[in-house]
Amino acid sequence: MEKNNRVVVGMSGGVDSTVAAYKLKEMGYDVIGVNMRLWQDEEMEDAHFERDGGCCSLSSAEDARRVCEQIGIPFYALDFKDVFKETVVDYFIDAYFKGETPNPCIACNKYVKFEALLEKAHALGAYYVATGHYAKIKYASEIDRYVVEKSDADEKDQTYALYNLTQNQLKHILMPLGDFKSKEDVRKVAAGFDTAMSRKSDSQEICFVPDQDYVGFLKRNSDKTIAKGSFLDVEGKVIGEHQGIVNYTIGQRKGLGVTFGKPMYVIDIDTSNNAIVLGDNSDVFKSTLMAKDVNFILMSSLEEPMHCTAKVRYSAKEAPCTIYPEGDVVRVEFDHPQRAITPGQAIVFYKENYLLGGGTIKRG
Amino acid sequence: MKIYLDHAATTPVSKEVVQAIYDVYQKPVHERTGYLEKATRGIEKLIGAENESVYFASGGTEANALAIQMHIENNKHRGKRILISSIEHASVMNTCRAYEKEGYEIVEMPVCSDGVLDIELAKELVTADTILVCLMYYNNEVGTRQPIETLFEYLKPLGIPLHVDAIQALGKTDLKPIGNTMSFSAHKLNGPKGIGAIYSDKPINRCDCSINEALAYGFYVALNRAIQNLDANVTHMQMLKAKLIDALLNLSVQIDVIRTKAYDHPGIVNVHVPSLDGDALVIRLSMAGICISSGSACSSGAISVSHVLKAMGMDMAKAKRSVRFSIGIETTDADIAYVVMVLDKITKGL
Repeated sequence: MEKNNRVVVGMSGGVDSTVAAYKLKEMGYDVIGVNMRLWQDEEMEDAHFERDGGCCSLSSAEDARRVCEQIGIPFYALDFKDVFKETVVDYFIDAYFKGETPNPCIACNKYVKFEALLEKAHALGAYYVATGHYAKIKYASEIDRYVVEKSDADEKDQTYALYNLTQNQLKHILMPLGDFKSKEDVRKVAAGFDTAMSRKSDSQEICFVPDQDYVGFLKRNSDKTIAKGSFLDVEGKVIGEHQGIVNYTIGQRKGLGVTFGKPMYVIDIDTSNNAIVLGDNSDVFKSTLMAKDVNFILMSSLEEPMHCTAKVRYSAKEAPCTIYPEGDVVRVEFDHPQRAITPGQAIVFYKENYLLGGGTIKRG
Repeated sequence: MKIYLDHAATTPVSKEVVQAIYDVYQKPVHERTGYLEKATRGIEKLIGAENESVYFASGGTEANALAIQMHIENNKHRGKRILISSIEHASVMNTCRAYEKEGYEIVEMPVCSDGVLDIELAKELVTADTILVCLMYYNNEVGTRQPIETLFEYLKPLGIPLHVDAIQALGKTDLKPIGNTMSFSAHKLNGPKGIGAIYSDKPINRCDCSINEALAYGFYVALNRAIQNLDANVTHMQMLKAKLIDALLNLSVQIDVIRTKAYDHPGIVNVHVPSLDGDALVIRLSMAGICISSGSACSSGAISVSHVLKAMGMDMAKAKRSVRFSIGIETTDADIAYVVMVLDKITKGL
């Protein structure tokens, strides 16, 4: 499609996407606000309706409609329920039953925001899709690639959730919040035209599990049974009974439901034996992992070992490591052991201030 | 430029109606009661119904609910089976479905692929324990006229009541009372929102003391205006509808138009554009100042696939690419020409 200055902004009703739309309008883009109607757990619809925290509730759609009016851009609510259910919710459920800890935001970015919404944007004659992510997308002529640079607001940087975007997607994405130094600066802009909006709290929970009880969510939305099983020690000895593997995540200490006389941590989830392996704090640290479904942004593929930094979860600190190509997976050797390397979570690589790429942490 | 082509959703209130409502409000409260009587008798006369057969409600949804509840209450000793067509409006469907909790069985009567009730199949579905049948006059999404006369002839000797949702029909055709109850709504015929009515062939035990007499009177004035100009209005709408369909079929891309006959709704055109999804088409038209609707938009604007198109056997993907244009009495030739010009641009990807 031919380049133009029309842009569809995914409007959640929150501060970030609102300011993103506002900035783009100021910059002279032809902005269209779109609220994505996503799949909701039927049982929880009342909760969605009443609360105003998350990004997917009806009241949020109304907020998005209101701010679009204030900014002076057209607003539409569009249905993305089916694609969201298939690519985000079903994946989320499957991952837990596979003993993994999923990252639904990454799946949503990949398949919903920057695939389904981008397609819709093109159908509306827009070359671009924009979001309120804290990240900078630039074109680097020296390598002829679109690159992703970390946000100036360190605390809020969201490049972690963008590692698997392709060149073809990046070409069509705008992230106007990348240059903001802090969330406070973003709030200040919002306060200029909508005081209620500028005071809205951040949403960080899983938007389709409004009460944050993901186990209850799995029970309602999966026909698989959550069977009790054994807690094992590192030698394989049974030391207690667990409530079903979906209740646990690697590195977890609290909420095991049993006391052992010393602090015990989940160090492995063994789905084939329906067992949870517990160890002490030192067992939670590992130096090596394998990453699957890798995607690179600074280059088309990893041809030879490379030294870089990596994060094993959104909230982790970047740690130095070396990455090795091994067929279609990448082996990661950290310079120092990392705490709670969790299958299903994303490992994201950085080269200084730039997003290098990333993948999904493999089991075993 | 703003062009409104969503008259099946709601219509602009005409000046005469606004004036009539204003006039009622000008009167002291104790002098307003006469207007309710005047509106009731007036509407009865306009639709050729007997005295004391029309009752006001707060809108079309309440009119449907009241009629359905009344039939079920009066006939509950006879059985628990309720028949509704598969293309009824949500207000009829949901009112009936609510009775499932009380052990009632709601059976859908299928339509053929042209959007008209399969009358032979419907007759077969009528059993001795059927206590109510609901069939609409014109469908609100595709505009098809339903065989209410034939169905009523069949049901009458069996003593099974028929409720007809005539919300899209009043003021659009020479409507006569058919069935045991009919429901109407004022805002579909350039009247105010917030007022509807029921025709009933038997007295309804209902107190009308809190009915808004100004709105009821506005309803009557709107209907009077619609009936006085009925032939001219219908001819005008049919002419514009034919023009729109002709122009759509002549666009360079393929566009399918759902069946429409002379006796169908004069202003509803349901269109399927294979190359564009429904949302995208609605939005692109909206950006060009043209208001239409896609599927059944809920309050949040979320669009679900039309149950009407599904009932007609259309697959999901095709149904998602369908939109509804609905023409009103104030629509002009120039409006249609502009819409066609914009559609031509959009479908060519310009």
